Amino acid sequence: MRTAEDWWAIWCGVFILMVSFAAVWMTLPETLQQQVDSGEEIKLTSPLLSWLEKPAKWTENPTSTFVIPGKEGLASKNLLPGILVAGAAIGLLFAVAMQIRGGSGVRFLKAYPFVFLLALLAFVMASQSVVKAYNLEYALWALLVGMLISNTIGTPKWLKPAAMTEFYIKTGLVLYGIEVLMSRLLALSLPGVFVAWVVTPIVLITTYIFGQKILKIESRSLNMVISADMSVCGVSAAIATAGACKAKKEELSLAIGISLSFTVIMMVVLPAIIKAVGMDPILGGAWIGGTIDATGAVAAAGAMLGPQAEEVAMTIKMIQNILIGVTSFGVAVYWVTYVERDPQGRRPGVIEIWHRFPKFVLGFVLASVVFSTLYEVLPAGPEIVKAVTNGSTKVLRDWLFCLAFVSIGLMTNFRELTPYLKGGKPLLLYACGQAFNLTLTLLMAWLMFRVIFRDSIDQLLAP
Amino acid sequence: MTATDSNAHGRRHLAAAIVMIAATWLIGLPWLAERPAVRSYLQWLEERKIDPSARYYTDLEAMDPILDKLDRRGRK
Repeated sequence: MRTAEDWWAIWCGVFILMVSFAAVWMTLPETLQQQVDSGEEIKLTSPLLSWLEKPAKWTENPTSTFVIPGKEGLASKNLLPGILVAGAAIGLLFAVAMQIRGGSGVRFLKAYPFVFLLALLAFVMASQSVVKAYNLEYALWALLVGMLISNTIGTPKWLKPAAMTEFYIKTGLVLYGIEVLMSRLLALSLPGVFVAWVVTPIVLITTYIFGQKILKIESRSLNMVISADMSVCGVSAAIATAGACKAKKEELSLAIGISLSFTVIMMVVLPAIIKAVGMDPILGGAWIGGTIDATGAVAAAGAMLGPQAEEVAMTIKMIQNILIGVTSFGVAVYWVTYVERDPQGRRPGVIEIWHRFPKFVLGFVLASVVFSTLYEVLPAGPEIVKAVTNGSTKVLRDWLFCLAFVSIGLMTNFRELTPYLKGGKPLLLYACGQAFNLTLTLLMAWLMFRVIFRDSIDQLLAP
Repeated sequence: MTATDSNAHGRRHLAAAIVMIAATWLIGLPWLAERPAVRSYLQWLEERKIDPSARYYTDLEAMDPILDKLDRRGRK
């Protein structure tokens, strides 16, 4: 436990969560209970909010990514100090963790500023308006920036101590846990659960079996990561599942590349088809929410059909987002009990399962359970959890994931990706799985939203 | 190819890639953002507070009113 990366991802994640929660808790107004009792609108912010930042959207001048212009009487805000503090906080925490784990904190600290600068460059590239508008998110640019170095001049040896892909991802996932709030599950009552939590696992399992039995994809982990990112929620699901099934970094890169490419196409084509055939907007929204991978792309595509479709699409996607906790836990259990079992078919014992189990998944699930409970039981629980998330953890998990993708790029050679593309199997897997997803989701959405629960859904969505 | 040749070759490739990226992000994309169709799409997203690159529902500003509505309903 003293040196294991998984445990240290949990310790680092829990430390960040505790500091973030304490910052909000200690600054709660004394009149909070009265505000809750009187039904007054409660607005809470974390004191860490202005200390942790990432680049903002820009259109023409990249330097404007470091400034939020003033509006409605508010002064403009310089983001650079917050960006540097976020980078320094992660760097120091990880350097201490490295030192205690028996590595060299000093060597990490020498390399880390350069990896952080590359992550910053990736964020600036991803923050350009046109790039953002087509869902070309930072993971893609972080991979590109890293791969540019590794495939031209080669990644220098001194930079490698800070290219800690798995440690960044695992810690980021523990932070992600607090955004997986179980109470959101029933947001659209039963129809939402059927579209997001019944169809999705069926599509995931069927696509995985199709990949193994029909396409005979050699790498089970690649098959699983593509099946999960296609059926659950794109990049987030790919990251969570890749950790749970111990996928190789190239497999994660490939799955994300395929998912982002298809998402760009689907976010334009799907609303156009729905409009062309005159489909009911609620049904169209549910179809979009259940099938387009990326959350932001779902919002954009749903909004093209009108406000009701947008609301249904985004809520379905949110319910599906929550599935990543269960998915990563289920995949981790399946991996250690079935995929990694003894070749002679002997069932592994409990201790063996415990040894193999990716422990950071427990941190991810635990964070979700604890914050889902706090959300429900604390007075102003939703506002407190939102202040913790928006004030610090969300920015830090984005930095951690961006650092992870830069690290993957730094350690990846283009040639390592080519065997995976052999025969176009990953693409075929995604295309067939998505075709099945589109069919089953449309059928289920029609049954649930327009046949069985039509009246209650119309009532629920009334303004 | 010697190691020195290979290094020079790598540096040339990196320089070319940097020039391409700089040209795309500093000239190409800002130019594209000014085209009428793209500009109106960007404006449309801005008005609705939609960020298509959002990774999770908590990253979407447009989700806030929906979540508020759900929370209010949950409290009733």
